[in-house]
Amino acid sequence: MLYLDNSATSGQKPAVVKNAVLTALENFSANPGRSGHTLSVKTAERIYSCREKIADFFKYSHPENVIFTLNCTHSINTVLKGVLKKGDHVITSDLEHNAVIRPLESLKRNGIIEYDVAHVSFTDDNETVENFRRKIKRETTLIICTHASNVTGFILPIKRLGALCKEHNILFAVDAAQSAGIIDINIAEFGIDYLCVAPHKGLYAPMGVGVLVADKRIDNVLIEGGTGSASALSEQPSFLPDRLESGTLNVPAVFGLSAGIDFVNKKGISTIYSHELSLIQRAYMGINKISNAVLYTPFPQKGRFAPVLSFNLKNVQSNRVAEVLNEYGIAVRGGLHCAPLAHRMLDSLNFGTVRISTGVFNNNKNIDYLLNVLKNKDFTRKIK
Amino acid sequence: MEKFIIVTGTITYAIKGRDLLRRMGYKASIERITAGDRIGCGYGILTFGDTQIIKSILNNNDIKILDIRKI
Repeated sequence: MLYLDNSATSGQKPAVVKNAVLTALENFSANPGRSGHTLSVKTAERIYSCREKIADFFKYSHPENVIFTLNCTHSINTVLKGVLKKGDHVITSDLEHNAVIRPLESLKRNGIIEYDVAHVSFTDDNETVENFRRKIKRETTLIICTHASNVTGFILPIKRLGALCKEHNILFAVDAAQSAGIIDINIAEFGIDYLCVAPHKGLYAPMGVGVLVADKRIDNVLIEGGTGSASALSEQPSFLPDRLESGTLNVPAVFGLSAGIDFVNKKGISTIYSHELSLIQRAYMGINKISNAVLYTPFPQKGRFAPVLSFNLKNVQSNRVAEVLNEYGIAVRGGLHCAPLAHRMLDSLNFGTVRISTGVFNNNKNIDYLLNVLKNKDFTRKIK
Repeated sequence: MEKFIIVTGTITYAIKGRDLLRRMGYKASIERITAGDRIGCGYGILTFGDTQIIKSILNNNDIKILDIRKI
């Protein structure tokens, strides 16, 4: 199978990640932070070391504020439902995943918040920032947006949006599901208060662990329960990470994440990005030559796009294109990619788009095979 | 030299504090806080030295201290 669906999850995990998971299962199968025995403490030390690694990775100095969640959606919900209060106003972008839109909509329908959507320009960051600025009201407490779109790969001007937030004393949350491990993120420099990460994507971790870096307080807690600390008290601990980490951690996944970060650091984030984006650029140029193909973004320039590309064939359901590509052994994703706002903006709601997203293990031959299939007469016949 | 336990509650602060103190030349180890304690189960750092200096080192590094107990 040729895997080009790395935006959904990195399809191939490095050997070091698999070995780390096995090591956890074989040698560290104790509950960290619960029992006081040697193995429990040794496991807790490895978990803490992963927190330190994550903090270093995002140039952040408080590893105790690195929270392990179930996934990036859980991280986003933890922020939105933990921070927002009645009467608050939120601004988000028109490229957001449902992980952001659905909790916002639910908070709105429950009469807790109001939110506005700012349009993102593919060509002019000034326009994007001004679109956000124009939506700011006295009640605005939070801006939340994706770092890179999961449909188009477009990178939002995060640093400038962070500065805008600081200028207006607004909290800033970033959904880094598509960017962490691919694009450099500096929490302090970008003015990020809450960073939500999907480690099973660009950090090559197993599924089942998410990360939230919470630089600011989160008052309301989604899940309360055992933390192994202050157990005589009936209320949830006030300190991080315990406040937001009730229940047993997914230790094998955290071990895998730790090894995944080592893998990315060893390869170099800029090397990974350049490699993956060059493949997307190759795909873009090839698809652009196919007469019945539709591309939805300008050419994916370095620094402007993450390695994600949406296309389709004219008047064909994108899921059908993905289905037939699957018959040729190519794994891509069709449909709306859980981001309906982006498709409304791209005018692709009816047919969706076919998304290709490259990973570190892909190469030019993979892209050439995809392009050859798309141009193949049998493929075209099957589509109809 | 005083011997005492700094109760941090969470294992995360206990490890962070222990590593920090060790880097600064203090003897420090993780100590399990027992169930009979008024705070309940949790963790602390067993260490030796001047309480006030160690307390300020930990405070300056954002390590939350729930209690300090002389042994």
